[in-house]
Amino acid sequence: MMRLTGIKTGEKVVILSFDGGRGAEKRLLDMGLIPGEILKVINNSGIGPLTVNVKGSRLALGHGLAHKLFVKEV
Amino acid sequence: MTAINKKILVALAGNPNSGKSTIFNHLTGSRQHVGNYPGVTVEKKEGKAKYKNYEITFVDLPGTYSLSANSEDEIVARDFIIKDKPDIIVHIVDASNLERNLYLYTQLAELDVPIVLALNMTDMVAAKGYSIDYEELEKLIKKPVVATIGHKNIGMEKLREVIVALYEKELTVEKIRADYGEEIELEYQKIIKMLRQCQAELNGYPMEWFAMKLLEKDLSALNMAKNLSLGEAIIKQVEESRKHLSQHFGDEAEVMIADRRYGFVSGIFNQAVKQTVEERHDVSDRIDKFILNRFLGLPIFAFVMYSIFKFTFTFSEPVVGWFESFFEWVAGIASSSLPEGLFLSFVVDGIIGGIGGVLGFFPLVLFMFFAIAFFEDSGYMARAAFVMDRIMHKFGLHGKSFLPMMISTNGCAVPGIMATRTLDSKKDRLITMMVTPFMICGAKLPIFALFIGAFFPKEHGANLMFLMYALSIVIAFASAWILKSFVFKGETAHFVMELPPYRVPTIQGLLLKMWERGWLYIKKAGTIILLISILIWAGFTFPKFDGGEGLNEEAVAALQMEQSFAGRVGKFVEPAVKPLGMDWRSGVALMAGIAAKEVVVSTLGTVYSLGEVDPEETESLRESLQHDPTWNPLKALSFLMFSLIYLPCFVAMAVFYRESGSSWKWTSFLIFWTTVMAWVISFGVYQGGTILGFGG
Repeated sequence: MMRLTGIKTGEKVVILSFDGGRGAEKRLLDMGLIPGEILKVINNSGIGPLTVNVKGSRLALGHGLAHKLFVKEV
Repeated sequence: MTAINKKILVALAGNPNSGKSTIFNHLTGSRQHVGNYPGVTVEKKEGKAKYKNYEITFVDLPGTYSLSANSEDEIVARDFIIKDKPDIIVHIVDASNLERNLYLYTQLAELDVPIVLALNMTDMVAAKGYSIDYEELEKLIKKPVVATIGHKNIGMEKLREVIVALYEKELTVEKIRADYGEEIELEYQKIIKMLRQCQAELNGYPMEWFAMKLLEKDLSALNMAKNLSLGEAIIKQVEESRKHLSQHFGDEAEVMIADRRYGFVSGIFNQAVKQTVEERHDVSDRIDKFILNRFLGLPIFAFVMYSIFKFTFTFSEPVVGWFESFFEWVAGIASSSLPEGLFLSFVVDGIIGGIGGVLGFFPLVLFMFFAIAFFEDSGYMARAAFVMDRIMHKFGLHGKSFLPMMISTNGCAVPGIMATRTLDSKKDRLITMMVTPFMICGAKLPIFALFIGAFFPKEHGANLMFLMYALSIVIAFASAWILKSFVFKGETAHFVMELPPYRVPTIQGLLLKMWERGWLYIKKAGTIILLISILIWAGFTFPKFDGGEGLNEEAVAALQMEQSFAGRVGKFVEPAVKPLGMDWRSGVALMAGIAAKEVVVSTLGTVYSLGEVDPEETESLRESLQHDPTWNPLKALSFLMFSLIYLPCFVAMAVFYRESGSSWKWTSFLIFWTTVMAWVISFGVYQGGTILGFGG
């Protein structure tokens, strides 16, 4: 289990869980970031926000949020 | 001619940036603002259209990802769908992003409203490497599907036909539900059973939808449930059901519900969509490698903004010169053909002196709007928010708050303040609303262009404008930081935003946008600014000054102004602005500017025109300022600082009041805050500059 912030550009991971506030969780669910979903990290520079591809759309995620998303490699 | 006998209410719903407003514009002939970034529409917009013998009212709703309503704009959309009960929902879906877009469909489909699915942007599907089987999709979702291409006006006729057919029940639709599985269904039925007993109290809220929202722990649904007669029992059941589900699944109920919905969508997607090409390398992703790069991102953003100002200043400069000459020429003609007296002064000083200065900058504003339209339509706007996120975090905001600021720069603080609706957290929203008016909007632009043109070398125009712009961002961020540290304490909310694909803007699209905003500028100058200019002229002209025998004309004109109504007001506030290097005339101009920022320029225009007694020698306002010995570049800078920061215009304040939840407290705070900030910073600039010897 790793945090999304630790995943390198180009890697694919599967979402395990989210450890953050309820409001944020709802937002993530609505935008397609649900446990079990596979996402591809398009760009992660290690600091600041990162971009991921989920269900064919490109999402920007703040660093804090991404840090609370637990994933594992596929 | 057939008489109109049937009225249909149609809601346009869909994800942000799925092209709803473009379709709305085609269906109704309106000109709603569109742009390639999420959250352009934050308020519902209505438009009527006649079709056969129907009057169809289309309502363009803010984009929403679900019916859970996390932010203010989503609440607007949800409330309309749930409470206003449209006859038909047109669900606009970005076909090139079908799977994520259909998630909203699973929730709309549970309502008792006929839906037609408008598969928009179908021309982009092939580029994504797949094809959609429309008939199969229709069968699976059990709703009519219409393929549309919004920006090419394709599919609108078919859409109208289907709407009418649905209304007349010539087309029937079946209600479908995602397969939630036995466990969830069972708990859902328990809640439905209880709700049914107080159905009358639900005020027509769809019960099925309500039950699901309760299971998802939707706060507004829970609050409503509390007020039902069986409220306590219902809430208790909801808690038990949620507990049972989370024990069973090892995950919260709302996660499981979302999971089942996505599963349902996935099933549809896999059957109706055929992958034609193996996953392609997206062009947008490749561009983003540079644009969003950790080292290049900010320099690129600065470069883009600099290019906008460089473009604007370089190309508009000669045209602004022609406009200036034109108004001087008109004033000259008026002076030589009208008899001397009050009416001549009214025309030359009041009207031409007032709005001439504002209209003179029309070319500049137009070039700026063109450059910025490019920025908006290409998809870069959302990237700017991304790039700024890292910095904004240090100041207690996040990237999404940058969009309202950009919107303010692109034209007006009013849509900027409105756009804060897309922010999830109330605190973030208030802070962003407080700092958005600091940006240099289209109405403030003439003030900057005027003073920069008058007091600084021509070749530095764009550089100075860029610096001013950068400064407005710095001031906004610094204010945000102070507000966050002392007034709105608390954690920064999450940043999550969809980045739209890059698109090459069309020339027609850019020209249209430029013209629409430019036309607003002209319209405002010809109406509200004209009216205020006349009032200001009257304020300086009355009461008439009788004395002054033996003095020359110029001295009489100066005395006339000083003892007029406006002059007395100016003299009264002069002590407050004197430490900032300003005199009573600047004081009046800045005060009048609260009505609308263009008025700062128009008032100075009137003042200088009134002070000019030789009718043969008309000067542009820029020249008058240059020739006035009481001004110098340092004073000009102090004046610009004050204009940049002080009170938003009246309309912006009114919108702030409304959007802050009609809060007098926050509106008063805004007034206090901006005034104090403006005074302190101008004071620092002027006094500091004087000490350093720039006051010469």
